[in-house]
Amino acid sequence: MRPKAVTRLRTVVLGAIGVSLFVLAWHLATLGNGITGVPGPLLTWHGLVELATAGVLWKNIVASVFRVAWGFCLAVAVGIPLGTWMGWKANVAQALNPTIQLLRPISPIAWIPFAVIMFGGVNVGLLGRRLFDAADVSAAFLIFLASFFPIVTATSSAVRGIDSKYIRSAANFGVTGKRLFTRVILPAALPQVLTGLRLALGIAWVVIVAAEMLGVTSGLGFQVNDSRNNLRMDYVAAAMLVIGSVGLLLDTGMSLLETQALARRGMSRR
Amino acid sequence: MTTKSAKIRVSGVTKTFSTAKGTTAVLDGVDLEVRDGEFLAIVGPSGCGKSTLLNCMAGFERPTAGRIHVDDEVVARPHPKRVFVFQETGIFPWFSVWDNVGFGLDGMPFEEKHEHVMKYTRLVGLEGFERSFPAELSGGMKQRVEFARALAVEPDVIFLDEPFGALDAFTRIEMRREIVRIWQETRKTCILVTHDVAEALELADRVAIMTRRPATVHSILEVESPRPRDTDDASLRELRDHVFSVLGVERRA
Repeated sequence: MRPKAVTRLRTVVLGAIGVSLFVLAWHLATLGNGITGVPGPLLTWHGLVELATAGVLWKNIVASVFRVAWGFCLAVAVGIPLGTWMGWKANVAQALNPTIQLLRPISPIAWIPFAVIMFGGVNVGLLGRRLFDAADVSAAFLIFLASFFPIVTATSSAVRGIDSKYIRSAANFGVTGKRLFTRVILPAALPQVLTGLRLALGIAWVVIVAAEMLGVTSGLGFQVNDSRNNLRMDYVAAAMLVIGSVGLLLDTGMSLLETQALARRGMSRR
Repeated sequence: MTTKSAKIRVSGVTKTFSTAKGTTAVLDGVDLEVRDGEFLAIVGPSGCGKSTLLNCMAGFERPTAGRIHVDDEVVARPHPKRVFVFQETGIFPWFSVWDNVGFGLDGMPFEEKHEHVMKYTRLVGLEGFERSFPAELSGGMKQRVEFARALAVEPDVIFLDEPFGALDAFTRIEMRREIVRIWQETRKTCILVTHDVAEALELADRVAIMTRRPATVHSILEVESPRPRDTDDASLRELRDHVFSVLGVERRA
């Protein structure tokens, strides 16, 4: 076998051993528990199958991903231009950075009461069809808050850190304005911006589950909360398992996007 | 002393930087004339401000006092007629060789642009690599891409800021030969900043020697040996020893 294949095999085998050990420990620690206690892996698996066959699982995954997508895209749409502006103009950064750094450590969860007050009555419709419920709007707002700060911070530091020889080259060849932005600034900042996006999406996914514990009637966070109220701890654990899996999938997707975007620059890990 | 053929005229240029400890004078009244079409090298001890001088000539930095004229016009900002080649290649890693070479040719119709790009890619010996990305090229090849990018806009002047500094010894020798060949084919005015005295003597028509900081031009040497030059040649060795003694580096016999 080629050394590369050996390394790969070893990674898979070691990972599988680690997961097995975790499941075993989980099983031993929860031995004898029923669905109202902390459930073991077997009960969780049965709960997962039940939720999946009832069709609610898929519906809840879609609902959570949908809310994250809206909040995240909004944060990208605002955060990248604002971060670029801050990275490019030192006085803009000096004016905005203190506020941003002050707001950034506040957990989006703390905003829940205000989110409910601010967006509690806001239903977004289009052509007579209701697009978003008020609860969706508050959830998307919380996701926006969670992802906006990492995106704006990563983008501004990426733009500020662009090697001056690229900016000087552009100036030397008379490339200015919009073309300077699209041909030099954005591609130069891209690697760091993508890392920021990946980080932001990870935080957004953690926050959505918490956000869905209030007000909404769908989503994986709702599933956790609702199952707890019904004393179905096997459903709670099943929902947690799904949250982890979807989060892992989102992160893998972002990391693939990163590798793809940077592959030809000699920056990929392959 | 203004001659008609002066392409660039540096008169009384002073440059000071303010730091936490006060102001540092880097250039202290530099006078220099660059003739049209010549290859001029500027040598000096490291940190003497020769790169600062080049940056001022290219318009990236403004002198604190004094004037720099190109074709009797004061240099205020960089211009595509005067292209800067960076110390460690300034080509864009996110563009292919083709896009890098064509970077300064925006607004040109595609056919014409393609012809231009291919012409200069060929001139630097990179034909067949148009679709490669910088990460797939060696250090010397990246430097060639940067030369092609500079030449493609058909400038009058090329500034070279220690362009071979990041290359290995073998590639450096090869690239020096290349730059002489390209210069002989295109006859652009070239201004090379280097701390490598042998390199300056191998390439340049004239070598300006700068003093320690705050720097002025100590003297200018004419190098008359025909090209291609051998740096072990007796006359070049003599010039080299002269430069070293001016720079205060005595060589043991």
